[in-house]
Amino acid sequence: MEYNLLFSFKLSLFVAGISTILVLITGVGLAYLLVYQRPRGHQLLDIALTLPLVLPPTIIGYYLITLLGRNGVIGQLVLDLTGDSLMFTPQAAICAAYVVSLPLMVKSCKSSFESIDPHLLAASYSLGHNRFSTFWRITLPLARPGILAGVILSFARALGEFGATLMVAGNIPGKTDTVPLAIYSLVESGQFVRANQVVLIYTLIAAIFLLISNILGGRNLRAWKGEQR
Amino acid sequence: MRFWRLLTTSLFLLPLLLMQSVGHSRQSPILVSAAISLRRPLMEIYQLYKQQSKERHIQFNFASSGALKMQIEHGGAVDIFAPASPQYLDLLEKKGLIHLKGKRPLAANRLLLISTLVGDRGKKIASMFKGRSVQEILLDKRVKRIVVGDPRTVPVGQYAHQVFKRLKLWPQLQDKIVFANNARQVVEYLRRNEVDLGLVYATDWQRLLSHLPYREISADLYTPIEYPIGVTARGKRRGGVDHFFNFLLSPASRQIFNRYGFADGV
Amino acid sequence: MSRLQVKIEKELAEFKLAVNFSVDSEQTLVVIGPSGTGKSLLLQLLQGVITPDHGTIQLGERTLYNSEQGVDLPPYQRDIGLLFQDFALFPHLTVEQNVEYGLLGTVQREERLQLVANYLERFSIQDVARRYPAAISGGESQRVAMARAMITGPSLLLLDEPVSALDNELQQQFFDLLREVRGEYQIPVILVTHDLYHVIKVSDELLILNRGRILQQGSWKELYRSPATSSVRKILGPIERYVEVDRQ
Repeated sequence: MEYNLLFSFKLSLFVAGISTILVLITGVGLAYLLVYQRPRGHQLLDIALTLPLVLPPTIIGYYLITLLGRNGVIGQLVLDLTGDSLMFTPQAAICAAYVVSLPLMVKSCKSSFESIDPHLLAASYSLGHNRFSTFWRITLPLARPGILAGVILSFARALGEFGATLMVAGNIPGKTDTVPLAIYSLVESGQFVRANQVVLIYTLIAAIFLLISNILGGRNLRAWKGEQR
Repeated sequence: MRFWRLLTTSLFLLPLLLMQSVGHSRQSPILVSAAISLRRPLMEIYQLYKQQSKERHIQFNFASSGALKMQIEHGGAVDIFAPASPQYLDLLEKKGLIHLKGKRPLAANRLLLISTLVGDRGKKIASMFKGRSVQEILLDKRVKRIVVGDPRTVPVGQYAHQVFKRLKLWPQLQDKIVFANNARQVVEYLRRNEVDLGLVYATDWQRLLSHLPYREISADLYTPIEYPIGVTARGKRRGGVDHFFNFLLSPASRQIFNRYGFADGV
Repeated sequence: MSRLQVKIEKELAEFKLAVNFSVDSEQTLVVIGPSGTGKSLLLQLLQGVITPDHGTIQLGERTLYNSEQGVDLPPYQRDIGLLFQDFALFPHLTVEQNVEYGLLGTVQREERLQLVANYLERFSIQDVARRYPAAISGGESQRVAMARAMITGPSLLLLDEPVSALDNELQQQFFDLLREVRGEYQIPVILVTHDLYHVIKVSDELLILNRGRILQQGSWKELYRSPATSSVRKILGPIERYVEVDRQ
C-alpha cells in the first residue's frame, strides 16, 4: 500500500491542532499589543503579520526554508539544541501552518477588541480593576465571538495548507504527508477516484469541527441578547 | 455546562493524543527527493528493496523538481536526488551539492501519438496508425483537432513543438493545434474525446489512456526525455546510500520502471 | 470629607487646556461649554486614562496626580465613580454581577453578597437582578449604573453627558435619582453636559469651559446676573425657560 491515508488524516489533525493552539495564544497576545499598547513600529508589525495573507504559499515556503533550514536563524538553533534538522519534519509542517493562519487570528481578534466600547473599560478601571483583571473579565469574554471565529478560520486554513508545507516539510509518505499533500500525490498519479474520496472525508471532518465550534460559540450570545431562560 | 467544558478541553487535548502515533524515529533515515511523476515506480522498487535487504530505513520526498532543488540548495538533508529533467541536477552539480561524476540515467520517457476512437472518423484515423507515416496522419483531412502541451510553459509541449518543427509541419498544423496547460490537461482532453489526436508521455498513456491506440514517434525527432539520478554531496558521506542508489539502477528496478511506461535511461 | 482640587494643563492640537478649580465635598459642579472644548477630556484627565502635561489633582488627603513629585495614580486606584450616557453596563454580566463588580477581589464573599443585596433593594432593582442589561428598561439601567458606581463608596463621582440622548421622562428620572443619591453621599460630584435643561436644578455651581479655559465659575444665578463675557451668556443659553430667574 503506497498510501497510508489513516496516517495522513491523523497527521493533518495533529498539525492543524497544535498550530491552532499556538496561534490562539500568540494571536490574542499580538492583537492585544496592537490595539491597546501600540508600541513604536506597531504599524510595521501589523503589516508583517498581514503579509502571509497576500503572499503565495510557495513564496512563504521559500522564506520559511531560509529561516528553518540548516543555514537559517531558527534552523541553526534547533540543530544546536536537538542535533536534528527542523526541515522535513512534522514540526516544520506546524511552522508552515502557524505562519499562514496567524494573520487570520490576529485580524479577527483585533477587530473584536476594537469593537468593544471603551466606556466599558473605563468603567472597569473606575471600579478598581487593573489592566489584567479588566482584560480577563471584560475584554476577553466580550471578544469571545471574534476569537472563536479566529480559531475556526485558523484551524481551517491549517488543515488546507499545502504550498508552504510542501517546501519546508516535504512530501514524505509516512512522515510529513498531510492530507492536502496526499491528495496532490493521488491526483498527480491519476488516481482521481481515490482523491475524491479523500477530499470528501476530509471535508466532512472539517465540517464536524466547525459545527462543534459554532455550537460552543453561539450559546453565550443568545443569553446576552436578551433571551431569558 | 460541565459537558461543554469537557468537550472544549478534549478538543484541545486531541492533537496531543495524536502526537504519539506521529512521533518520528530517532535514527536518521536515507532521504530520496524525487519528482512526483516517479512516485509509483519508486514506491514499488522500495517494497522490493525491503524484501531483499535489511538495509536502513528509506524515506521519499515527492514534489515538483523545482521545489526539490530549492530544498537541497537551502541545506535540506537529502541523500539522493531524482528530478524530472537533467537541468536540475546540473545546476546543483555546479554548486557542488551533487557528487560530481555521480550522475546516472535512471529512466527515460517517450513521446507517443494518441488517437481517440470516437465514431467512424475516429476509427478511420486510428486505422492509419499501422501503415502511414506520422506526417501523413497529422496532415490527414479527417484530423480536425490535435492537443499538445503549451510549449511556452511545459516540457511536454516543448517536445511536441520540436517534433512538429523537425517534420516541418508547424505552420500547416496551426489551425488544428489546441494547447493544454500541462501534461495532465492533455490527457484530460484525450480522455474526454474533445480532440482527435494528442501527443503525450508514454508514462501518461500507460497510466490513463491505455485503452486508446498509440503510435510511436521516432526518437530522433525530439531531444531525449531523461530522468537522471544523483547522490548529493551529503549522501556521499553516509553509509547505505550507495547501496540503494545502485539498487535503483539495477535490472530489477528497470523492469518496474518499464511496467509503468518508462523507457530505459541512456 | 473629600474636597477636590484641580490645577492642570494639557497641550492639544487645537488648543491648550488649562484649568484651576475646586469642588467641595457636598457640591455638584456642572461643567458646561460647546462641544469639543475639553469637557470630556477634563473628565478623562481626572479619571487617569489621560495624563496631563503638568499640575496637581488632589482629592481629600490623597494625591491623584502631581507632576513635581512624580505621582500619577492609575485609574484603578483613584477611587472615582463613573457614569456614562450609554450607562456602559457590562452586557455579558447580569445586573447582580454588574453591581457586584467593583467589590470583587476586595470584599469577601459573604459580606459582598450582603452589600449587593442591600444596594439592589436600595435602588429598586432587585426584581431584575438575574437579567442581562439588554433585557431591562432605560430607567432600570440608570439605577443599575448608579448602584454599581456607588457600591464601592467612591470619593468622587463623575458623570459624562449622562442624559443627552435620553428622552424627557428618563432625564427627569435620572435627576430624581441623582438628587436622592446626592442626599446620601457627601462627596463632590462633577457633571459634564452641553444642555442645561434639568441639570441646572441639581447644580450648586457651574463651570463655563471654552477652548480649554474656564470663563467663569459660580452659581447659575451669579452667572446669569453678571456674566464675565458675552460668551458666558451665550453658553448659558435660555435658562429663564428652566428656572425662575426673577427671584432676587
